[in-house]
Amino acid sequence: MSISGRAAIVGVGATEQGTLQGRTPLDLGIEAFKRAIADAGLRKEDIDGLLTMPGTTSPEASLHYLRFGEAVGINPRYTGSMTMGGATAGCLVQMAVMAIHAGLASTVACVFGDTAKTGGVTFNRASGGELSWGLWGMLGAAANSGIAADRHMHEYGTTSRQLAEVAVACRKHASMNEHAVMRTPITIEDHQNSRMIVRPLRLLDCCLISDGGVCIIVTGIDRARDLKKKPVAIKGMGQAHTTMNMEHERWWYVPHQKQALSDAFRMAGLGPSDVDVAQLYDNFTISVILWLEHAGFCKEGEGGSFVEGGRIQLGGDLPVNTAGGNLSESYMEGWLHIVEGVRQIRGESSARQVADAETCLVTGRGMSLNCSNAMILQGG
Amino acid sequence: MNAPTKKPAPQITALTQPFWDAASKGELRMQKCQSCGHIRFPIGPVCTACLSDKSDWVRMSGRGTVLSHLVFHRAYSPAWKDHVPYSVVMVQLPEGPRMFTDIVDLERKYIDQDLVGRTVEVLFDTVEGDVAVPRFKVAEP
Ligand SMILES: [Zn+2]
Repeated sequence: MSISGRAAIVGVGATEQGTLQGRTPLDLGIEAFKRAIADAGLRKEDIDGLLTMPGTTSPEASLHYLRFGEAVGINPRYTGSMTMGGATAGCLVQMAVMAIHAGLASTVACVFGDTAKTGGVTFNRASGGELSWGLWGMLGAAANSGIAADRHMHEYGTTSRQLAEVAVACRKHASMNEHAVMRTPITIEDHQNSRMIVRPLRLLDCCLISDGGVCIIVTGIDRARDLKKKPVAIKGMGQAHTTMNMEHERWWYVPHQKQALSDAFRMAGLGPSDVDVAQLYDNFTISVILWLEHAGFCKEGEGGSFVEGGRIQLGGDLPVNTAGGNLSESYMEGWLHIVEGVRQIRGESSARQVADAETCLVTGRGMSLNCSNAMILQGG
Repeated sequence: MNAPTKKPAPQITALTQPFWDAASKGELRMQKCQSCGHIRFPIGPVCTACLSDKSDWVRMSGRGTVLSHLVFHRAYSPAWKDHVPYSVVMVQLPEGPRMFTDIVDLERKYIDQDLVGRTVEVLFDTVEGDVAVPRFKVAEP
């Protein structure tokens, strides 16, 4: 039996976001977990799978699942932690679907909590193995996305004002989201006047750094239909990664994302024209343009012109990042993209609800340009 | 005025030692597979094409073409704070490998320019004792 639609997201929980003095990644994860099981109408004893992502400030690192499970007092049949940056949330939800389909667990909680903001995390590291690129000043999260943006500008004529369209759309949506961290609307000129960080990327091309916690609960579709909320089925899923960088000629273009997306669409039996709303991983504005091309909403190289004129804003042809994204809602490394996808399909997105949203595409990307995934969500 | 801080020095390992030995003599060398001829970079224990662990450290011409040009206006480490704004480029070497390098541009002549497509050439910047880091400068036509 195909795995398509066999599992569903039945509970989502998110804490307050932003600058949360005195909180810890562990207690934020716990609060999100409590909110998610309440959202689903479950008790903690119902959770027999636990998959976690350690926060950037979690001292337990890859042993985080043990600490978290101990803290909430559960004995999962299936557990583990994964660190794949912004691709982790989607990959853990997919792992949960697979575990449920394989009979290794019935109800899986996927959990993340972090205090990157108050913890002073600056995402300043260099990539590279024994020869760190930091020796040549190639440091920080904006570096590799800067390469992607610069190459895209040279090969396709993409402009900084087109990148600004992405930032403006995300901020507009965040302004309609009372839980978002950055809610003051911005214009293309505001973007153009924001300071250069790593040319060609300006401050308003960059995502936030945030504290917060998120939990997503997945169970089999039959059980899901007996729970409190309308199930949000995972109709399609795909992943694709590259471990290469300099030896991969088109690494900067993240071509493996196309594979993740086409696998997800094929599993769902759907295509880009079926998508009503999309939550596309936005560590930097350029990433949204790449996703739009890779998903087939436009041709390669046309992502820049696609986003012009408010097309990805609410009310446009394809609303993207309707809660504000990493750029303006909160930097939960893509976890909130899944939460917003669920809310859109449930019809819970209030002022920013896309009318009759039946199909949502959610994507994740992590470890700079290397890891990617995609999921197609529909009501189950 | 104080001299700008030295750029960082490498942590040399058994694997990377030949690269740094060559650099201290003013040579840019990379690993060429003895089995299939693939030249790999970053430095690795085996050939990324055929997994052979036999390689020779062959000398690169030291010239390359800029594929992408970034300008860092922010220092992400104290070692770079006296150097902002500085350019980092992705260079295509004619021998096959690609690498990142900062551009040595003391007069900030190229900071507002777009270096994509320009030819760059290697120089060796002593950072500590006799340890030198290969960096690139813009080749004058
Ligand atoms: Zn070989």
